[in-house]
Amino acid sequence: MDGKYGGYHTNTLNPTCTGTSVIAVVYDEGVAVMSDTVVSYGKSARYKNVTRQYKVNDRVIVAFSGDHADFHTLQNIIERQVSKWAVVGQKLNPSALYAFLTSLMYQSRCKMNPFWNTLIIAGWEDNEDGGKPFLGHITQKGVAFEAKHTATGIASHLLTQVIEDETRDKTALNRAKAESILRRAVELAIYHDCLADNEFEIGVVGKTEKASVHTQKPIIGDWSIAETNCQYE
Amino acid sequence: MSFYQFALIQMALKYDAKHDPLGAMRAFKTAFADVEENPDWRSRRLIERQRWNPYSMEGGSTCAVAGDNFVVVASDTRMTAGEINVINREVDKIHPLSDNIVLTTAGFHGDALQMRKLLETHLHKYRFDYRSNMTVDLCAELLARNLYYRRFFPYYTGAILAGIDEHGKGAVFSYDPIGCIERLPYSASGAAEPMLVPFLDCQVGHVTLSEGTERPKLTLERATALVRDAFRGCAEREITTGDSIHLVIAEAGKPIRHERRKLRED
Repeated sequence: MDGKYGGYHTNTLNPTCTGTSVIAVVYDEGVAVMSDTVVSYGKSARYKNVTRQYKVNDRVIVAFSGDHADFHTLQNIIERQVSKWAVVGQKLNPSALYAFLTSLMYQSRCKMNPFWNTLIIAGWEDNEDGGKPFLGHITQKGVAFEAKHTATGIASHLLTQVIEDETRDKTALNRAKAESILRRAVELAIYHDCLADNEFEIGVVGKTEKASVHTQKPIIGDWSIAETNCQYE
Repeated sequence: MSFYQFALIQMALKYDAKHDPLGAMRAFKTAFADVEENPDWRSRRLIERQRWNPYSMEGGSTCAVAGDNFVVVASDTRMTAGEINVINREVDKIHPLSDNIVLTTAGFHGDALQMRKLLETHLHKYRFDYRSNMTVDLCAELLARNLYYRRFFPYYTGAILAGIDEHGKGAVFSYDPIGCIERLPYSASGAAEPMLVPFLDCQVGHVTLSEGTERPKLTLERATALVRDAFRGCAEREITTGDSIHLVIAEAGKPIRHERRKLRED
């Protein structure tokens, strides 16, 4: 939009419909990603049952927090990248997509027109020695890193310690354990994050499992404390 | 009232409401909308400050010490968001670019990644064009020019370039964000720079040492030990530095060596 008076170009720098935290954990033979399914419009839970995990192919899942519209654009861009690779008979692998998206996020930041998303790239990286799990984290400004476990949004403040305590010094974390850690994280998230929801999905991609996103049973949690703590204004 | 608003209102007054009521109303509306959009208290500078910030600081510190035939580069591996939140404990901030050039960064990680990619591409092209590896002096100049190229949208990386020069001597090049370059015997950057530099001044540069104190020669062992101690100290006092030290040691005629030591994790 051209400014009415100044005539200078302005970019949208506020998100509208957003998703809150994503949490992901690497286990021995794969990666598990958790995200809830509510779309917030400011503080209101505007839409429900909307997924925040995009299955790129059999071995990559991209999950996001932040603006939904921006992610739809990204999804489109990723799709184009997938077909570009398909032309030469290749399947997009997680580290390639991670590198691509890092550059893309950094480039749009440099144009002062960022994608308002934090991306989590989970996948299984095939190589000669049987492959390995891949988990990458990319911020809005193009800061990217790989990790054994990671979280975005408010969960990166509240829950990384919980996940770290659970995963530290445990050499073999299996899928069931990883998922139970994520469920525990959801429970803590709904207690502390007013944008989080108890309806959530867990995406899994691993050596034997092809990438898939599963809707989970909602977690109710323990709200008995609400009876005694009623300090409403 | 800005000059612009004043001019608009003058324009509004020019209209004679009796003969051109619509024109008067239009001019009034324009002036009114402008006042609403750009109120007096919202100066240019304030608008500038409220804009989205394209930088974020990921914390951490790094330093490099050059010796006669070696260079020791060290960095912590912590990555933080907003000073208090540790988002990763094992990020590599030292990037070996070739057999004798090491880049190390502490600042905005997005720029650091981009800068590494840029230098790697240039080095690759140089190898292709000239069929030899770039010397560290050349690479240092290249980095300085690339930094200055982005003079008005700088790479906020706190870069230090280290390596072994063509005479087999250790070299450390220190930069500011916009490409001011200096070859130094030792340098530090990042969040704990104000702590690392005086320590290195005393122990490596011997500039703040009392007279008559022993001034041991800088061997590789002493350099690595000093750097380790420096980081142990910083981890105690600087919150975005910690988790572990990543040491990269380049010696003349030898391949680059990596060493990792634990630091405190709180």
